[in-house]
Amino acid sequence: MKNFFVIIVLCLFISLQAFAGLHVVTTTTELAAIATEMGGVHAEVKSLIKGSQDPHYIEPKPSYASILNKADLFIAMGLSLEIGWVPSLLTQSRNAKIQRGHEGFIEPYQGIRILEIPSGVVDRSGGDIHPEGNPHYLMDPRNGVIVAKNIAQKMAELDPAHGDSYQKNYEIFAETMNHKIGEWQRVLSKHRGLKVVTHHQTFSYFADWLGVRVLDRIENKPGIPPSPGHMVDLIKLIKKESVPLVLLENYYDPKPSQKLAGETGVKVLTLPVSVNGVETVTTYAGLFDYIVTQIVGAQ
Amino acid sequence: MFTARLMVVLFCLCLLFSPTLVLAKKKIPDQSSEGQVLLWKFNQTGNKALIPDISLIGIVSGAYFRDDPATVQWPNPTRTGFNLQAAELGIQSVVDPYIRADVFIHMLEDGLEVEEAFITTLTLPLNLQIRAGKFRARLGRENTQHLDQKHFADYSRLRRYFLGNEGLTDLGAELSVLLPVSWFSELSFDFMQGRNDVSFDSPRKQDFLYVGHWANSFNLTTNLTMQVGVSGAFGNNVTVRKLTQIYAGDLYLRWRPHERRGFKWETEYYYRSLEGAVATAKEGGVTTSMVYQFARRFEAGARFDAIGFPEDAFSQYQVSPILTFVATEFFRLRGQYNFLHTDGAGKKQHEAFLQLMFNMGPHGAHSF
Ligand SMILES: [Zn+2]
Repeated sequence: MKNFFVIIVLCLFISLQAFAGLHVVTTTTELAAIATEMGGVHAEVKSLIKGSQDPHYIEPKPSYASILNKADLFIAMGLSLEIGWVPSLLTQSRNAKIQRGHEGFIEPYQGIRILEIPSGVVDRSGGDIHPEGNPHYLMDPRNGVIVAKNIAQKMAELDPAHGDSYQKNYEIFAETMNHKIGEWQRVLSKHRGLKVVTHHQTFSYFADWLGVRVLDRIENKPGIPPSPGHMVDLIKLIKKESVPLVLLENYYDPKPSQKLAGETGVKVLTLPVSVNGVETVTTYAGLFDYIVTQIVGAQ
Repeated sequence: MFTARLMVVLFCLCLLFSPTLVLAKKKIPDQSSEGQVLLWKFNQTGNKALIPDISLIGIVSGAYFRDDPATVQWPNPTRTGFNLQAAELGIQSVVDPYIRADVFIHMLEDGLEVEEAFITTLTLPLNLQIRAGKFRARLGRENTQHLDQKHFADYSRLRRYFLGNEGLTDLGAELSVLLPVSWFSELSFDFMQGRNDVSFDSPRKQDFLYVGHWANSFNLTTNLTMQVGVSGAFGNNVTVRKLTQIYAGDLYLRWRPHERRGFKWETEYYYRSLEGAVATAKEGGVTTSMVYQFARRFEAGARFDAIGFPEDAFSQYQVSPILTFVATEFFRLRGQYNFLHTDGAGKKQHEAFLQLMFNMGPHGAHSF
């Protein structure tokens, strides 16, 4: 029995963390990338999922509960994106601070214009829809700046001693991003009206930002593979409208797009839609650098 | 002994009320630069606000039995022809800043049954958590699983033999703690009424049931996770003042490289010592299953159950291959065949099921 207590005490010591700042946990890597820039030296940021994972269908691991257990701040995308796996993890985490409605929980989309909010009857005949609107808002870098601001404010609220530092990090981030946004817009301005077919609704905000026209989606019902009939329609559409590009989020099944390419000669551009979605993309700005370069190169 | 139990209960009650005091001290900042309302504090939208998540899972199967079972074995398929295995209504919600509640009601062909109804604390200090109400005892892994979480059309022979068709579900309270170590490690103690037809059905009112579980999880690689657990259940059985002890070990390996591939290997062993009026029956059994997801929408697998390690008066084994078509997260179809051999039963039993499952509404994920 005495040994048992020694072990427990040892465990307690091991678990005492050396890092004294804010422990921030995010669901996705984009959120983690932005939070890292806002937190600077005062925050340690971890993302639960990898950039190569589809955030809609995550199977929670017990280790996620352990990570959340030590968090001071939990940042989720919200808009039902993580509805299938986050609520039970929050309960399992046993962390009072980060429960929904408590001060360490934030879905930082406040101030963003949400696209594709369904109207009328909302049921699953349309597939596994996003009932509160499209949650892939970070695919527009202008939204990234808003998210950064919300996160920096939240950090300042939780750690007022370093409030100025978070504010400063935000200002630096906003300035860099705004400069880059101008550049990306300039580079892609000659591609305004570019016709594309995408796999999922991930590119809606991106398209909205740059005036890219998403004519149709391979997954016309979210979460459900395309029917043969829909594939025939897509082939017709691509031929009729001479669509030059199919944009494929790199965690989706490549087979339907490959089939479209085989039938019509359309070019398939497999793109990361998350930070760390490919190895070379390690920052939020880097994600758009990569996507914009790829699209320009594909023309 | 009774005083000790009373102390535990009192201790639990104190803990239950302590978060209120802790939280009252913290002030919620109302920072609102530029007059913005901090939406994330109230981000439920319009009419959805305050209505709990309501869901319904229906499981219907067509079954063939070479010999129809002599007794009802619901919620497993129980007769040749059509079987309503489950119409499970789930009502789940965070109740207030301190607790959440989960209620699962089985709507049977001829009545209602509360399958589970419990609250879970969200804000206890020291990584503690209390569940109270009616819930599935944490004995091994399979006993905590609802039918809709399983990759098979029925529960294993192991669980059915040692805990009954409906498993070990009881009224009680549970105290669990997440240990402060670098991996996931959770200890739980269930203190329950002690009503289980098979192993714990003491006629005396003071005979309660105690269940302890220690669960551990390790990420072996980024895609490979292992869970190991040991547990034990202690209570009195139908013979007055006679003890039943069940010890269980569970092992779960999960490999999931991406959404279109996956592999699960679940194994569980039970050992039961059941004191009778004259002798003690010592019996054990095992269930092991492997399921491979080979395409986005298909999985195939097999389960092997065996009772008789050690053997007392009963020995049985079953082999059950399955094939499942997962149309969406909310609808799936499954075929299963059971080959069942029971020592001394004469004929071998053949069973075949075609099971369909649908899920309406947001059914919150169960535990891992
Ligand atoms: Zn989506």
